[in-house]
Amino acid sequence: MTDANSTMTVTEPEKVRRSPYSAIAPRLEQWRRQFYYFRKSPLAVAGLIITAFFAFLAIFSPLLTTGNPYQMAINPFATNLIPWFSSWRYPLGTTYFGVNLLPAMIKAARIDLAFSLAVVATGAFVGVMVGAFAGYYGGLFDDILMRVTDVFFSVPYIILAIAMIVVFTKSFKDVAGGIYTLLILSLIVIWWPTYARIVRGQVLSVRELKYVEAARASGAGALRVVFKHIIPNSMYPVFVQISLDVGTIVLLLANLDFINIGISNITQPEWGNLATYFNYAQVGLTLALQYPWTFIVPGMAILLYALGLNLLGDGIRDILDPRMRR
Amino acid sequence: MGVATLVSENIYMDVRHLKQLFPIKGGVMSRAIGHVHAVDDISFRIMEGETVGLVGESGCGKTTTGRTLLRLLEPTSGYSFVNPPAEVVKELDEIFSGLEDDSGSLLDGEISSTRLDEIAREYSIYGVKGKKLKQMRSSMQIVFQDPFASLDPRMLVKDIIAEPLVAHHAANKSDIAERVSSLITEVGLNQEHLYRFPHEFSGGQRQRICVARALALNPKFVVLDEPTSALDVSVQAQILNLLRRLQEKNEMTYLFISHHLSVIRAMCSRVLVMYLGKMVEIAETEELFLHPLHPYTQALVSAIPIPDPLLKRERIIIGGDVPSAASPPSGCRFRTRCEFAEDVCREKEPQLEEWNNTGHLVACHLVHRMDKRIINAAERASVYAGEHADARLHN
Repeated sequence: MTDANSTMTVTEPEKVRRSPYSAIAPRLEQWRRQFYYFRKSPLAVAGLIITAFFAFLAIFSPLLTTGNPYQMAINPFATNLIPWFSSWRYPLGTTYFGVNLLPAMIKAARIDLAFSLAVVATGAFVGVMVGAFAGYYGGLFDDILMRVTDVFFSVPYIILAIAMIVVFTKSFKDVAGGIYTLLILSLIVIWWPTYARIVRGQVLSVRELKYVEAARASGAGALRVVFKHIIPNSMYPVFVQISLDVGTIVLLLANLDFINIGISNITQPEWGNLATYFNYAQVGLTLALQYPWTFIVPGMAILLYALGLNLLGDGIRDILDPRMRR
Repeated sequence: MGVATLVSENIYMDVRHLKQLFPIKGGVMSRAIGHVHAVDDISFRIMEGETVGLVGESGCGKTTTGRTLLRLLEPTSGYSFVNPPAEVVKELDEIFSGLEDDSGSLLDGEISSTRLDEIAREYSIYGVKGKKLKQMRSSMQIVFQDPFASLDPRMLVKDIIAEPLVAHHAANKSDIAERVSSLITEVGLNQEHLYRFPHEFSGGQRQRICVARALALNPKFVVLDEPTSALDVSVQAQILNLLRRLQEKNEMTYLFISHHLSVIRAMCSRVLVMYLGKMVEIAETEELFLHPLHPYTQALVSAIPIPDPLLKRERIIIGGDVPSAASPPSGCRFRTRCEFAEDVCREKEPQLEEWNNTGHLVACHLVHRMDKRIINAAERASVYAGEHADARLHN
C-alpha cells in the first residue's frame, strides 16, 4: 500500500531547516518549492537555459566582442560576402557592407533584450494599472476604461503601430533615442490593452474573495487593497504574458525592419535589422537568397529567443497556476 | 450551558428598518428589472457585551445583515445607530412611531425626519464619512466563515495580523511587531507561526489567525459569520472557547451568525431568527429553545439532535423550498410553507411584537391570537419535549 502510494505521488521537496523567525526564509522556500515543479518539465528548463544564454550575451556583450563589427567593411557592394563557417575571423560569415555577423549578433542581443523589456515592462505596467483599477472600482469608471481599450483593439495592432511610426518619424529625429524611442512608444501604445484586459478579468474574480473583504473591513483604503491584495494575486497570467511577449516583440520589430520602417539605420546591430540588410544594399530578394546565412543567422537568433521565452512562459504558467499542474 | 455574563443595559447597536435590496439587472441598458430582497426592513438591538445569535437557513440574509452592519455593503435604506445614549434611543422610538402612524400632521413628520437625519449623522454608521467612519470601522470587525479564503495566500501571517494596524496607522513599526506577537499568543499560536504562509496551517489554526486579525484593533463589536461551520467538531469547540475567553477578557459584543443551533445555544444570550430577509422571532436563548413560538422556529428547534438515544422526540418537518427572494410571498413570508396558514397570513404582514408581555418578540398573526395549534406545536418542538423511554419503564 505504501509502495503504491509512493510511486503515485510526486515527492515534495524536503523542508529546509530554517530559522523560525525569518521573514525571508519562508519566501525562499516557496520559490524553492515552485522551482521544484519547474524543474520537472524539461521544456521549461530548456526555455530557461536559452533565455539565460541570451541574457548572458546581453549583459556581457562588451566583453565578448572587441572592436566594431562595422569597421571591417571590405567592399561596399553586395557581391563579396564571406559565407558562414568558412573562416575563423568571420565564423558566421559577413553580411552586406562587410559586417561581421557573430560580433554584430552578440552586440544586438543587448539592444533586442533592452528593447523588448522596455516595451513589455512599460506596457504591462500601464495595462496592469488600468485593468486593476477598472476591475476594482467597476461601474462607469470600468466602462469608460474598457471602452478605451476596445478602441485600441478595434484597429489591427500592427497597422496602428505602422501608422504611428510613419507619421512621427520626422518629429522624433531630435528626440533622445531617436527612432528607438518612437518604436518603443508606439509598441507600448499597441501593447498595453492586452494586459489591461487580462488583469481586469483576473481582478473581477480576486476582488470578490474574502481576504479582500477582510482587508476592507479592517479599514484598508482602496489604494492599499489594490496594491497589497488585488494586484499581487492577479499577476500570474501577467507574468506568463510578459514572458511570451518579450519574444514576440523582437519578432514584430523584425517585421517592421523588413518593410523598412523599423530601425532603418545601417550602423545599428539589431537582429531584425541585420536580417534585412539586403534592403540597404538595394539587393533584390532573389539575389539575396543566394547568401542565405545573411538572414538565417539573425533569423535563428530571433527564433531561438522567441522560442526560449515561450517555453519559459509555459513553465512559469505551470508553476503559478496550480490547476495546470499535473 | 454558560452564557456571557457581562451583558449591560447599554445598547451597543440599534438597527432600525434596515433594508438591503440587490437589483436584478436585465433588459435594455441593464436596468433593474427587479430586486432580491436579501434583508427587508429588519429592526433589532444589540446590547453591550452580549452575544447575539442570528440563525436562519441558507440564503435568508444572515450574512448580508452582518456585512451591512459593518458597512461592507451600503444598505438600500435604514439606520444602524452605534452607541446611542438612552435619551437618543427614546427620541428615536418617538420619531419612528410617529413616522409609522400617519395620524400626525405633515409638519410634525417633517420636523421629526430632519431630527432623524441629525441623529443619523451623529450616530448612524451609514451617516458618517471619512475620519469618523475609519474610527467606527476600527471598533467593528468580522471573522468570516471560510478560513481558507479569508487569508491572503501571498502574505506572511505577521503581515496579515498587522494589516488592520498598518491600515489605521495605529502604531509605529516596533509597537506593531509587539502587538502582533502578543495577539498570536492570545489566540493560542506560537511566535514562529508568524513567519509562515497561510497554506501551512490547518483550518482551526487559520481561524485563530482570522480571530487575531479581527482583534488587532481592540474592537468593541465583532461579527462572527459562521466562524466554525468549516471546521470539524473538536476544533469547533476550541474556537468557541477561545472566542468566549477573548470576549470576557476584552469585553466585546458579538453578533454570532450560524445555522448550527446547538452552537448558538452554547454561545448566545439572545437569538434572532431570520426567514427570507425578515426577522420572525427574537428571544432570550433558553426562552427560545423552550418555547419556540414561530412555526419556522419550531421546525428549527425540533430538528436539534438531542444526544440521548432513549428520548423519543417528534420532529416538525416543513415541506417545500424557500420561495425566491426576488418575489417574496405577500403577507407573512413563511405562509407558503406553514401548516397553520390562514387567509389573514396572506393578506396582512405580521409585525414583530411582544408575545404576552414577555419580551419574547415574534411575528405571527396566529401566535398573537393564541391559536391552540401553534401553542401545542411550541410544546412539542421545545428542546425539553419528548418522552423518555426510561420514564415509561419506571411508571
